[in-house]
Amino acid sequence: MIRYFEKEPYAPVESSYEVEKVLFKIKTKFQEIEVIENSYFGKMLFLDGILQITERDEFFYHEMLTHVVMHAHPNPKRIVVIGGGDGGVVREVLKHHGVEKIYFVEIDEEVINVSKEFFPNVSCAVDDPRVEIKAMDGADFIKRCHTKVDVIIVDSTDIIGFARSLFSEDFFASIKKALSDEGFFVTHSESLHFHKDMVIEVQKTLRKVFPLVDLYATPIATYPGHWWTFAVGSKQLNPRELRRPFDIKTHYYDDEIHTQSFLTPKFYKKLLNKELPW
Amino acid sequence: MDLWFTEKHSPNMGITLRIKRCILQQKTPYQQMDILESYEYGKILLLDGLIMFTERDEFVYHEMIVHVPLLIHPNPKNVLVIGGGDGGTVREILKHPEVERIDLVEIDEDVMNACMEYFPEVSQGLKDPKVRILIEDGIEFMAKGDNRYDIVIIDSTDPIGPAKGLFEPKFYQNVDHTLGQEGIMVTQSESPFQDPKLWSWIYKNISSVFEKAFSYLAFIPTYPAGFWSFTLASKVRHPTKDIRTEHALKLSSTTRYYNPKVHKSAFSLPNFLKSELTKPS
Repeated sequence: MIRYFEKEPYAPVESSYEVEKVLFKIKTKFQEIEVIENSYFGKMLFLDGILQITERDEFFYHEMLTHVVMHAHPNPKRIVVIGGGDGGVVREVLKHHGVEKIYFVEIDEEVINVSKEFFPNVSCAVDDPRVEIKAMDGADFIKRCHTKVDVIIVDSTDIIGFARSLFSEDFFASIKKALSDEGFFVTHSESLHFHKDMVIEVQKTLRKVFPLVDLYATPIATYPGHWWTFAVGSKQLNPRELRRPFDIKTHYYDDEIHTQSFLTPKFYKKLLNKELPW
Repeated sequence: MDLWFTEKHSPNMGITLRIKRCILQQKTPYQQMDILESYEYGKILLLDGLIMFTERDEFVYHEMIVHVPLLIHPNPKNVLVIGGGDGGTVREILKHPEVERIDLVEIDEDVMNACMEYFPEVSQGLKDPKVRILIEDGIEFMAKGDNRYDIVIIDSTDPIGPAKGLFEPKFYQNVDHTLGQEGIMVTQSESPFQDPKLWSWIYKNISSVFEKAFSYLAFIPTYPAGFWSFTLASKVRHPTKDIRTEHALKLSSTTRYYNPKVHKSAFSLPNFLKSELTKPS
């Protein structure tokens, strides 16, 4: 029996997964990419020893990262996806027929190639003609972005290492500049259980830039702490409201889950005031 | 990558090794075969999830299963190996120039081919012209009884599943018929510390067929309890009194575990094992 022990950044627990087969391993300029096969989760993608997606449950994360802001926006046409080299977010974005253009900015092109080979059901939309792949740093792309976009989605690795720049005030300011007036920004922001201080920090940094900032959460089986959060920044529209009917095919997300995922105002206030005891 | 391989030796204990990579994972017609590369023990061959040998400690097993019987026999010319497709046993036999022919009966050709590819140091002897490789079931081969041998070495997997028949009296009777006047049979006989009952079951099966059986011990860190046994049946030669000492000393320049003193002392059984053999089964 072979087990893969995951490095859990900042979490007091350790996960390990039984390995049926090690399918792939490569060291790129940026990170180590590994794919293993597990009997329950199917294929699993690791970057630098940290689990990114599994075949079995990736849709929870990808749907929830994508569809909340896509439904809060009245008519999203131009989208930027930063990170998410597996292609899961791109697949979800393209379920919205009004989308005209996706800038898919992934610093490590190898992740896209690996996903195409091992996760065809996740990467299935990356070759769509509306998708323009930019193999570059997401922060650089946003700084140099001269046209306005409607939605910017950050699907990065954890807030350590080279993804750290995607959580800075500087970066959020250039995001705001790149967004149209009705634009939305969303990023994952770690777990409410184990990374609460990071969740608060991202909220506070966003608040320095965006007039409307909010937080929603969803259960994800394979991320440490499970109670995974997503931070939203908006120039004027409230992300809790759907501005278009829910009429796409999903496994988890729907219009009711959309509204229920947001933290209640009382709880949110306690969180930001650091009144939560854990 | 933080990959750890665990082999359970019982429901409550096991051995765990951190591994660098999986080199091969293959289902053969007979078993699951994996080759891993570990940090501490080099490359490892697994059959059905159990460690068969590691690069670092295989020499103990292979030297002890071969040199003990071959140095007791006065003139071993024809040797039969049942199992042992990895080639380690053959490699050690070939250190004895008086051996003229080695028959190797291995059921799983895929194991042999994988070892030739990934363990050249272990399998090197398989290509020697003295070696005749027969891909067939060892139990059936023995039942035919076509050949005569001076030494029969049973280098098999554990007595569960397909290898069970290699530990039963009926098989030992066939071995007995195939052995010459001064013939010697040796088999690996599991860990007497981990499973004393299994060990004494093997011992008793052998002594029910052969007049004399002798168990001897060796230290093999990656096997259960690190404490391993072999059991030898000899028609006339005594395992410690009839050592060809001169040959044994000469051979010792090529071995890392075996020498004549180790040979002798390996037959000294601790008290708890002696008493295990006198228990009624």
